[in-house]
Amino acid sequence: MNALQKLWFHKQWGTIRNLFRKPSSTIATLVMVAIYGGLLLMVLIGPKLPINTMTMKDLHTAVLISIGFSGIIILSTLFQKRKALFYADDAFYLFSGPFSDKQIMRYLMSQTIMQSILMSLLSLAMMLFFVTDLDYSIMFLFLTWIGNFLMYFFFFVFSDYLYLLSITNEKYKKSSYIIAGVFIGIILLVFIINLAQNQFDVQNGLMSFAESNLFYFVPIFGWVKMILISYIEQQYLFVGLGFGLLLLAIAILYAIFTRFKGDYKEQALEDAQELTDYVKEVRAGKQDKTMDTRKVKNVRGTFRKGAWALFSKEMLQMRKSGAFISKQDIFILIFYFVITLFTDLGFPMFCYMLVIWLFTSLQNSSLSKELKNYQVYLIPANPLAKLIALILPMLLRVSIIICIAIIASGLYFSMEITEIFQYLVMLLGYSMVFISATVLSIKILRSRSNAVFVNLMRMLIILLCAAPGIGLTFLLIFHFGYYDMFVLQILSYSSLVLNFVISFIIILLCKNMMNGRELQSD
Amino acid sequence: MIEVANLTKAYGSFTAVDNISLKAEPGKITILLGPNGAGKSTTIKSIANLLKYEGEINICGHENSSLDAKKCFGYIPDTPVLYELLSVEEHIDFIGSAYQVENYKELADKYITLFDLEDKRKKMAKELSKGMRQKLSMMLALIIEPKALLVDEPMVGLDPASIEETLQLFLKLKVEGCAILISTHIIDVIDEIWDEAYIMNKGVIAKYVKREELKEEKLKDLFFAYTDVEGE
Repeated sequence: MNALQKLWFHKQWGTIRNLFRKPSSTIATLVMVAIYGGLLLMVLIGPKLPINTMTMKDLHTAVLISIGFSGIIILSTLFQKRKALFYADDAFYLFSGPFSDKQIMRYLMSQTIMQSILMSLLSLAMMLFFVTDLDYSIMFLFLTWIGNFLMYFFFFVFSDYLYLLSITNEKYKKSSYIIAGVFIGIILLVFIINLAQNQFDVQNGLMSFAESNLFYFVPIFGWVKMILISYIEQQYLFVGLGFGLLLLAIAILYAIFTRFKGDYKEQALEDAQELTDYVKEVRAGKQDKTMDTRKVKNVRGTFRKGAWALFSKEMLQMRKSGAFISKQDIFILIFYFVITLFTDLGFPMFCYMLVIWLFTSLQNSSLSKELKNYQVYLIPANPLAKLIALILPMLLRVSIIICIAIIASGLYFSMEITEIFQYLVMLLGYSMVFISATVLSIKILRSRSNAVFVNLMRMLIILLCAAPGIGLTFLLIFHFGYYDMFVLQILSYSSLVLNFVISFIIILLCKNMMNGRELQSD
Repeated sequence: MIEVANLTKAYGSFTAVDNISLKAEPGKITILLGPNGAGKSTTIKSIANLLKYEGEINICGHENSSLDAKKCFGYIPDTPVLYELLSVEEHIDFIGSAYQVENYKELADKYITLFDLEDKRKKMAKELSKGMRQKLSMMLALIIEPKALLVDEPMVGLDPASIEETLQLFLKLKVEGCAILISTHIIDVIDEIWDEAYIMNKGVIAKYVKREELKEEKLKDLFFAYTDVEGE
C-alpha cells in the first residue's frame, strides 16, 4: 500500500470513527440510520404495483426523478463559483509532498468514487421516495444505482478537469459554465420538440418528454435512461450500448485527466485554502461572513426598543441579504410545482413537498446561529419577549411563503377552500414545530446542538403531536368499531392543532434560557 | 461591584474552575491572570451568566441573571461576535435600542472618534479588519455606560497604538467609578494599570495581591511563582 492509499484509507476510517467517537454521537448515528433506513424499508415493503403491470409513464417518471435529481446536483457542481481539487489539508501535503501529478489525480479520483457512491445512493432514494408504488426488482435498483454512480463519477471528474483547465489557461475560465449551458440547452431542445409535438400543451408535453426516445441522445444523462428503460423493455442490446457509451466516456476522461500537464499547484492550493475557510464559516453558521459584499442590499432600518430590537435586527439582516424571500426559495417552489404537474399527484403532493422545503429552509435559517450568540442572552429584557422576538421573523418568512404557495397552487388545482385551509393549518403547524424543536434542541444540547439532533427533535415533536390523534383513531376504529368519518376527521384536525399547542408550550418552557447559561454545553 | 462566591464550573468530569471567590470593586482595575487553561475565560463567562455553574455571583448588588444586573454590566469577549451584514452604526443602534440607552448616539460618537472609526461608520462588520472588529466589540460594551465591565483578553488583535488607547480608556472608566475585571495572560500589557490581581492556576486562585502590597517584587515574578509556567 503506498502512502496515498494509506492516507485515503485512514481518512475513510477516521470519518467512520468520528461518527462513533462518543456515546451521544453513536446513539445519534444509529438513530438516524434506523429512521432513514426504516423510511426506506417502508417504501420498499409498502403496497406495490407489480413491475409488469405498471404503466410505462410511471417507470419513465421514476427514472427521470432519479436522473433529474442527479442532474441538478451535477449542474450545480458545474455552476459552483468556489472550486478546488481538495480541502486545504490534502492540498498542502499532496502539492508539497513527493507525489507525481498522476498520483495526485488518481488520489483525487479515489475521493470522487466515494462521493459518487454516496450521491448515487441519494438519487436512488429520491426515486424510491417519490414513486413509492412500483415493485422495483433488485436488479433494476442496482442498475439505477450503478447508472447514477457512473454519471456522477464522470461529471465530478469532468468538473475537476475543467477546473484545472480554467486555472491554467485564461481562455478556459468559463468552460464549466459553457458545458453546463450546453447540457441544459440540449435537454431544453428535447423538451421544446416534445412540447411542439403536443401543440404546446405543457402537461402532455412533459409526459411526452419523460417518455421520449429523443432523450437518449442527451449525452450521459440520456444513456443512463436508456440503460434503465431498455432493461425493463428487455432490450439488453441497448442496456449494453448505454453502459458501453458511459464506460467509454469515462475511459477517455481518465486518460486525459491523469495525463494533465500544467502549472496548477499554486492556484489550486490557494483555492483549497479558500474553500476550506468558506466551508468552516458555513458550518459555524457564519454564512453572512462569506456573502459577497456587492450582493448585500443597501437598505436601512430602525430598531425597536428592548427585546424587540432583536426582531428589528433580524428583519434588517434578512432584507440586506435578500433572505426573506430568496431566488432559491422561488426556484425550489417552482421546481416542486413542476414535479407535482409532472407526476400528476396533485395538490396534496405539492403540500407534502412544501414540508421538505420547510424542513431545509428552517435548517439553514439563522435561528440556531442567533441562539448561539452571547448578545441575545445579555440584553436586559423579558426572556419570553426576547425568544418571541427572535422566532417571529423566521415564522413570518415561512408563513408568508407557505400562504402564497398553498393558496396559489390550491386555486390552480381548483381545490375547495376547506381543503386549502386544512393544508395551510398543517404547514403552519409544522413551521411552529420545526422552530420550537430548534429552540428545544439548543436548550437541551446547548453548544453541542447540531443539524442531526435538531432534526431528531423535530421528528419526535411531530410524533408527540400526532400520537393522541392516532391513538384515539385506532381506539375508536378497532376497539369501539366507530367509523364516523366526521369524528375521525375532527381527530385528525386536532392533531394538526396540537402542533401549535405543543410548540407554544415548548417555547414557554424554554423562555428562561434567554437569561443565559444555555450558550455552552458542559 | 462584581462579587463571586464559591464559584465552581465543571465540564463533565473536568473541573475548570474550583470553588473560587473574588471581588472587583468600583473604581478599580482587577485582573485575572493565569496561563492558558487556568479557568480565566470560564470565570468571566460564568460572571456574564453565559454558563451553568455552582456558586453565587452578584453584579452591582444584583444576582447576575437578573435584568438589573444585565443593565449594569458590559462584556467584551475574547473574540468579537458581530452581525456580519450590519454596519458599525447599525450595531450601535441595535445595542442602544436593546439596552434602551437614552443618549447612546452621543456616547457612540465619542467612542467612534476615540477608536478612530469615523470613516468606518457605514462599513459592514464583515468589511472590518480584526483590530477594527475588536474596537467595535468594545464600543458596544461601553455605550451602555456599564457600572461593571468584564473583559476577556482585550488586546488580542489590536495594534500598539490601539492598545495604548484602550488602556487609557480603562483608566478613565476606573476614575468614573466602573468596576473593571480583566482576564489576561499577557502581563506586560496591563502591568501599568492594574490595582488588584488574582493569579489563577488549574482552576483555583493561587494568589491574590494588591498593587500596594508589592514591594520589590514584580507581578511577573508572582505569576511564575504561583503557576506551572516556567519563567526565563
